Amino acid sequence: MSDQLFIPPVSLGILLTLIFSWFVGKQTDAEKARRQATGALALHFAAMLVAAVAVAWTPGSRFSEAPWQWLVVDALNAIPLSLYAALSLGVVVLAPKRKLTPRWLAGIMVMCAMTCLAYAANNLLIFTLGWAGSLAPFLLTRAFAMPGVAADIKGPGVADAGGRRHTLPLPARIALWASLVSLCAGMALLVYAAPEAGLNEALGLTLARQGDAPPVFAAFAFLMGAVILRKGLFPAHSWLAPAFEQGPLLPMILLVNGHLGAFLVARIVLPLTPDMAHHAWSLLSNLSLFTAGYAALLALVARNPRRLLAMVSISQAAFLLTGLESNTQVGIAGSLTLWQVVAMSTTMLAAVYAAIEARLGGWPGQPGFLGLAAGAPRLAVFFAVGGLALVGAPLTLGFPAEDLLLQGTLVTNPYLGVVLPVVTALNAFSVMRMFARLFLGRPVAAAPGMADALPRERLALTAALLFLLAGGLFPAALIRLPAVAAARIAAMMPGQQHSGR
Amino acid sequence: MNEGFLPALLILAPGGLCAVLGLAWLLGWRMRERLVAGLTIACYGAASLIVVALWRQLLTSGRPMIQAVYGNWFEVGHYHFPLALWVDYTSLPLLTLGALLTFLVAVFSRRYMHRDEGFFRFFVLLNLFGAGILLFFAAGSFDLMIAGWEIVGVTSILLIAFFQRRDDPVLSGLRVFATYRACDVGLLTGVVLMHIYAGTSEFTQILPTYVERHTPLSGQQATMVMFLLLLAAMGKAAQVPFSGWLPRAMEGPTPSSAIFYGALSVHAGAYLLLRAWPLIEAAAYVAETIIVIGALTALHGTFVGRTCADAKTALAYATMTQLGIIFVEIGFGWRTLALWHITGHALVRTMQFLRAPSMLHDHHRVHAAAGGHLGATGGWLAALLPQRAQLWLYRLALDRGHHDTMLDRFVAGPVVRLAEWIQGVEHMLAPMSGTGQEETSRRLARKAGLANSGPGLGQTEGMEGADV
Repeated sequence: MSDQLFIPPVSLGILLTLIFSWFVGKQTDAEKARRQATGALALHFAAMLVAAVAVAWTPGSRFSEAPWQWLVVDALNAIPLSLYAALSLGVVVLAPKRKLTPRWLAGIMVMCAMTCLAYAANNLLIFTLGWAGSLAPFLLTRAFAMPGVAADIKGPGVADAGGRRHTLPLPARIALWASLVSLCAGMALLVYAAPEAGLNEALGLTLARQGDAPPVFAAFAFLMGAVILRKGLFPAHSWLAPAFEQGPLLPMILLVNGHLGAFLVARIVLPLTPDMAHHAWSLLSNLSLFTAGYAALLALVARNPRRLLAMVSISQAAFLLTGLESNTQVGIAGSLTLWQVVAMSTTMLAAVYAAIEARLGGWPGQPGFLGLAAGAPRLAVFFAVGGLALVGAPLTLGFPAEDLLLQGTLVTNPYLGVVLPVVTALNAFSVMRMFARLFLGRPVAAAPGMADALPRERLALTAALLFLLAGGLFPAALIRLPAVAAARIAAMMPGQQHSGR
Repeated sequence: MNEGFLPALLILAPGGLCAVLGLAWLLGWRMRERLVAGLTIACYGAASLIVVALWRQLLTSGRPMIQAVYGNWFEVGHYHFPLALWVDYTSLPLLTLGALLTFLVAVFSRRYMHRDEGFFRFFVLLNLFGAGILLFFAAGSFDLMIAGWEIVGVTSILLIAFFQRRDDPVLSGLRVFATYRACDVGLLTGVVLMHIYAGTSEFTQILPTYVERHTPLSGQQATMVMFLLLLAAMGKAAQVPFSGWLPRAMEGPTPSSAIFYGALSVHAGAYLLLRAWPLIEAAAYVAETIIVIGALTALHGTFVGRTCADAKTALAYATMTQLGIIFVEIGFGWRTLALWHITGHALVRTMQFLRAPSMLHDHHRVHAAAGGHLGATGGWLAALLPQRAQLWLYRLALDRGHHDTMLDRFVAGPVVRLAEWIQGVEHMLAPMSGTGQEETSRRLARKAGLANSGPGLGQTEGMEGADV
């Protein structure tokens, strides 16, 4: 049974953002559009925060939004809702001017609204709509296309007759379309697998499909296919690196940091197909571990910073699924906490790198150090802290997240105890290598005159830094809701394990 | 006064100061050298007084240790991460060294680093290091020790690469970081195993130091755990074959070399072994391994040190020699001796490092005082060994035992080659995956005579904020 919030903040936030996105997209002045988008997303963030605070006040509660009950806020999605809103707001504030167009901003707003819709969905259909809507700016529009690229740079799926690039390379588009199709198939089969239930109940998120009958098996397979494709787990990881290398960096990082694949597992797969999830957890957990190690190795030899960023993100994010599949409250809580860390820190890294690219006019490509700390020491600090948080350094939220993940998965997957430290060490080296390459060493000619963090950049990045550091010093506040959500998910699983003490 | 207050204050003071300085800088406040240095000196002066108070507390309490528990840092279900500090006659000497030597180095650095463009950065990192090392020494569980250990590692790297406008310090910093992270896997995995076997890593549960009971780990379990902790200790203490990083670390400023590699950071590995002594006793072959490693390191350090051409590198190898001997002492179970050795060594070495810039001057003064009869040392070795052996040893020492070459060839090399092979396979599949698109685009752009391809064309120098 769920309570209702006096006002529906999530619905209002999503609706207003979508409406404002239309107006922003129609603007002709990019800076004016940025201000409007910032205002709209700030309101959106405030709305999500209200919902999160309401849930935090009574952590076991579950609020549905009147009048149609299709949206719900609970311990599982309260933090992701406000976190994603904050990330979207941050990206809009931090986006370099030369990347900024009104349509770009509108695309971000649509992605934010639809991702939040997926988070808050209390219904398979709404979730699918949110998933699809979050991909729409990439797949159905050219909102993130980069203007002005010379038309004679050709390549498969790169340039069109108008001289504008498609947003993403072809493999990325195929992977994302495939994930959507797989999701739709999985959802349809889930409904089919509940013949006795009415349509409302079949579309709801409470009816567990027990056993491993063919429809349930097929639904599970398609849903996990969607997860593997969207998250870029091996062998479906190949689309991510070129998408990062050639696509729009900040929108890509937002897409990846929606972690809708992981949310699908937590919200739908585990509760609705508990037996199938239990049978397959070992395979999926090991696949995630393999992906983490594989991506870490690729990051080790990556020369292009965007590619390195993509691989490190895939690697650290792969641990999310390992935790979710651990069947333990501690492991699932660790995974949900790690989500916050990965999302915030990779966005920070991408934002700093995008700022550097804008200042240099692109990636120079030459080997050796750039020494940009000479001119931009604050950007260096933001990058360093973001990178350290990503690899679980103490004093950051990454440390308790990885500790929980380890403790919770030791019983169910002891390999994690070896793989996590090794992979984290590789990723830490890769991040430090990137930091050294960008910021240390003999400064290039552009370095001394380069602008350090601008006031808007400083504000947004300081907020992110404080989140990571304050979360590291006082993690209890950010772990409380994931712990409640984790208890609920773990209780649904057959043969639930208790971890540690 | 609540006895838990002082240990917490000891760590919070430098940590808090680091946070304040860092935040002030981020917000754009330019602090004067005198203020920054003064605050740091005052902080560690206060820390030194706190340590004195802790000695008094411990000595008058009649107990072997003071344990301060501050509740749980975080908890989920049955799992909790306790915040506990532990002050006893093993950790208190090192806490004393930590507070006192950092105070002295801060006083020294106020003048030594005067007008260096990285003055502020140095003191921020010094405070962060201080918080980390004091946390490490005072930690009441291996989990909390990891936090201090990692903080020390990160600050160490950032100070090695302190002179960031040159490539060599940066490359050295990266190399040291790689060695640290590789060896730290041992500490992380060892603590993971403690949780698997015993469900805890708290000293009160897993180390029967002051109670009459056995460790909950069996002999085999203790052996596995200890070999992993030994790997971590070897990395931090520059034991063979992981010793190549120590001379590279001399790229950093002299005060940081003194406090890190003369006094504190470099003894962290030995302290880890001292703290885990009950597990060493329960384990098989670990003590013997520690002795062998320590002996080899001592020999390696003394031979290589004789081929060094600069003062700081020579001191680094002298430090390594002493660390090897300390490991031997620990392996034999002479823990009190090892503790005294650490204390004395830290004090002398810090002094030597701080005097290193004046070493030549000191040498000439001593040489003159000896009437010009200050001869070379090591003649006894030449008398013992045949000429060929001496030459062989000399070449081996000149290449520093080939350790770095071996690590590159047999440890790092295979990993990198595997990664490159995987990347090669991915590039081969590029038409299907799109991985090689950037390279294709770059080649096409070069053909078209464009300067650059990828996100944005060309390269603009000296871009101002208005365009960004």
